[in-house]
Amino acid sequence: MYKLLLVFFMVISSPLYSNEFTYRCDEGDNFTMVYDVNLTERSIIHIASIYHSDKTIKKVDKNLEIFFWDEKYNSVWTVNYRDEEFTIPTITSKLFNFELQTLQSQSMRNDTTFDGSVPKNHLFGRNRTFKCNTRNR
Amino acid sequence: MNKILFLFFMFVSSPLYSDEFTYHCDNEDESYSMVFNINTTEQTVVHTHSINKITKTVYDINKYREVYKWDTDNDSVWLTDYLNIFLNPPSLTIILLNFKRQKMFLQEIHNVLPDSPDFFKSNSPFRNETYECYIME
Repeated sequence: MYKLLLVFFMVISSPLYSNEFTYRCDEGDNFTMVYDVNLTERSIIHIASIYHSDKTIKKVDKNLEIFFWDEKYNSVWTVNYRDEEFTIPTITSKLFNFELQTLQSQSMRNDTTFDGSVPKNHLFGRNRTFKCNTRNR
Repeated sequence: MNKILFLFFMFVSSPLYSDEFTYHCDNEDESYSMVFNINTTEQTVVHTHSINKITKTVYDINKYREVYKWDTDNDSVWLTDYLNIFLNPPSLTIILLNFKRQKMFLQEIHNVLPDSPDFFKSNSPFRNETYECYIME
């Protein structure tokens, strides 16, 4: 009986995920992002994006830049700065909350055009909230 | 004549501000201002104070801001600020100062947790703000 109780308490006290897991985040029914998370190495790799409307999977395989790994709240903040040819500089910040199983994302662009022609409402990207689930690897 | 032309081109090609200046930014309804001391040689940004024009209060801040990227090509600076202060959910703020356009853009995500105050739970975790700025030598 005690052994059963011990096993029961071990199960309920263990985290819902191991040190390595896949974090799958859905934005409604249209778009999904898939990440590989490694808690020991403190790394997050964006594996793929899935576009459900045209049933396509885009392979990404990108290591995210960790801004702050918040162990206390089972959360991670990432920041991604991009300044590529033919685009304007953009920064994207993401908040992964593994406990609440959510992902929040927002982005901001710098109007570096010669005449400042980027419309004001295009300088801020959409504020996006994803519902996520965890699968152990 | 050539000397005059030379002086004219020197004048129009020089930046509108020196290496050290104060950058004063007002939010859209001009109820709130943030004031920074900028040093472009040392690439530092000090948030000196904030002004609440509704309550007519000046807050002394005097805080070096963390520079994420100093974009010399585009006369811009990206700043990051992670905050975890008592009674507030942890937050990540990203600020873009564009000296050429005389603008400031601010984005913020709050990590709203189950034990966060109700105010944060009932409001959006996102914040996007645009400020009009001017330079004081």
